[in-house]
Amino acid sequence: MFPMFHLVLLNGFCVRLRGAVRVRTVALLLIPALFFLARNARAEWLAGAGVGAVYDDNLSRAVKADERKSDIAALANASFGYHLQPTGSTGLAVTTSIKDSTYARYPGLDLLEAGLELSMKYKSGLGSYAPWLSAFGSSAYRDCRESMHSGTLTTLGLRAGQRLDVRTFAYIEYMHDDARARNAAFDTAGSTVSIKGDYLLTESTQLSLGYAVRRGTSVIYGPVELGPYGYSEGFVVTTFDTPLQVYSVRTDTQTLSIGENTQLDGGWSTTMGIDYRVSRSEDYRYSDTAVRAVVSYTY
Amino acid sequence: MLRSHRCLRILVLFVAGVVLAQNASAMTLHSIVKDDAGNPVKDAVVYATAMEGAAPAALRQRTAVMDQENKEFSPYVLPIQVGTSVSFPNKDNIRHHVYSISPAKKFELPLYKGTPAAPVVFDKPGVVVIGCNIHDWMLAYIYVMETPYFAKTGADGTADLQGLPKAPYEVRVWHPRMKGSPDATAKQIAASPRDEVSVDFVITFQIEKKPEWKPLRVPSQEGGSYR
Repeated sequence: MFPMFHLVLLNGFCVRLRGAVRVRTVALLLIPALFFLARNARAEWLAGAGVGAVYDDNLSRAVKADERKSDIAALANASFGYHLQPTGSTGLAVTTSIKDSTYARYPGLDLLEAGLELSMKYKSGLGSYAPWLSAFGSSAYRDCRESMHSGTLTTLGLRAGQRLDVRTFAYIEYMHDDARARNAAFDTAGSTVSIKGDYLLTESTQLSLGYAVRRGTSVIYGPVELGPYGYSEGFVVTTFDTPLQVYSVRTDTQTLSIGENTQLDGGWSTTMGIDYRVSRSEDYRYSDTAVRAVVSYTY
Repeated sequence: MLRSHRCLRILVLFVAGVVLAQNASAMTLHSIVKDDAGNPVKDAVVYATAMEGAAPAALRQRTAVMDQENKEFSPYVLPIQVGTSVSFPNKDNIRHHVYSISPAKKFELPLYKGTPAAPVVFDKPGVVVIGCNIHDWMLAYIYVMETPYFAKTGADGTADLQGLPKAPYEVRVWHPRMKGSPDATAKQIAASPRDEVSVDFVITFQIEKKPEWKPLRVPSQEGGSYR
C-alpha cells in the first residue's frame, strides 16, 4: 500500500515538472528496495505525509531592503521507511522522502527533491530520561525548474538529546551540508552547530526554541556590476524577474527558530514555525525571515 | 424411593441455607469518583481495607494481563493484589522493550514479540509505572494492593465492590494523575449490626487531577520519541 501511495504522489509531481526523470528514477529504485529489505527484516514501518506553506521575505539574500525578493511556496512532502531495533538500546531508521516546493511569484525556484536518510540512535539507559546519541546522513537529488540550480544535497551529522524534566527536552547537533549544482556558481558547503529545546506547553502541544550557527558558503543575488566594457563579468540570472548577479560568499549565519507542534488524534499533527536568520560576510550583511505552517499525518 | 426423595430435600435445604448465610454477611460498595470540576474519573482504583481485627484475606486472583497493542499498553491502569503474576503479551508485529524502575517492582523484559515465557510476580504494594524503552510515549500503571477488595472505575466514574465480608473497612481511591495521597481520601464504613441479607454503601470521592506529561507520539524533526 505505501509504495503505491508514494508512486502516485511522485508521478503527480513529475507530470507537472520538466526534467524530473532523475528524481523519478531515484525514487522508483529506492522504494521497492526498501520495501523488500524491511519486509525481510520484520521492521517497523514508518510513513508520513504533509502539506503546508512557507513564506520567505528575502529569497534573494539581498543586502538592501528595496532589493529583497519575497515569495510564498506551497509545500508537500511524503516519506516512507522503516525502523529496526537490533538491541534494546540501538535503533536504525532508513527513510526515503520526496518534497515539493511550488512558488507563487518566482516559479524558477520550484523544487522537487527525492532523497534517502539513514540514522542510528543509541540510548544509554532505560526510560524517556535516558540521554541518547544519533548519527545521521542523507543524500537527495534536487530538481529545480531552473535547471542550473538542480543537483545533489548531502548532509552528515551528529545529534544528542535528553529529557531534562517532565516537560523539557534539549538537543544539540552538528551537521555538515554539501550542495552541488549543475552550475557550480550555486555550489554551497558549510557546517552548522545548533542547540534546541522543546517544552510541553500542554499534554499535546510542544513549543520549540532553537539557535544555530552555520559557517560556510552561501549564494546571494545582488545588482549587476558592469565591467569596463559595459557588460557584466559575473553570472547573471533572471530568476527573480529582474537581472541579478550571483555571488558565492563565505558567511556566518545565525538562526533563531521558534516553533510549535500540536499532536492531534489519529496520527495527525500541525507544525508552525518562524526562522530569523542573519548572515554576515566580510562585505555583506543580510537577514531573512521565513514563516512556515504544515499539517502532517504520521503512521 | 420415598427415603431418597426425603434425603434430596434435606440436601437442597442445607445448600440453600449455606447460600443465604453467606449473603447475609455480604456487603456491596458502590463508589463514584469525580474530579474537582465534577466530571467522572475513569481508571480510578477504589479499594477497601479491612480494619484491625478482621481475618486476613486470601489471594483474589493469581494472574493478570497487560497487553501491548497499537504501540500502547492496555489497560492503562491495572489494579492487582500483592502476589499476582502479570503477563505482558505483545500483540503488535514489532518488538517492544517493557520495563519499570519503580521501587515497588523493578524489572525489564528485553526486546520480544509474542508473550514472554515467565510472567512477572508483583510482591510489594505500591505504584508500578510501566514503559517501553523504544516507544517513549507508551505508559501504563499497575497498582499493587494488600487487599483483595478493589474495583476500577469505568467511563462513568463508578466502581462496585461486591461480596465484601461483613466487617468495618477503610475505603480509599487512587488515580495515576491525582494530587495527594490515597490516605487523604480515606472513608470508613462500618458493618451493619442488623441481620440483613445485604448492605449497600454509596461513597463519592472527589479528586484533583494533574496533567500527565509524556513525549509526543508524533515525532519531532529532532528525533524525539524513537526515531
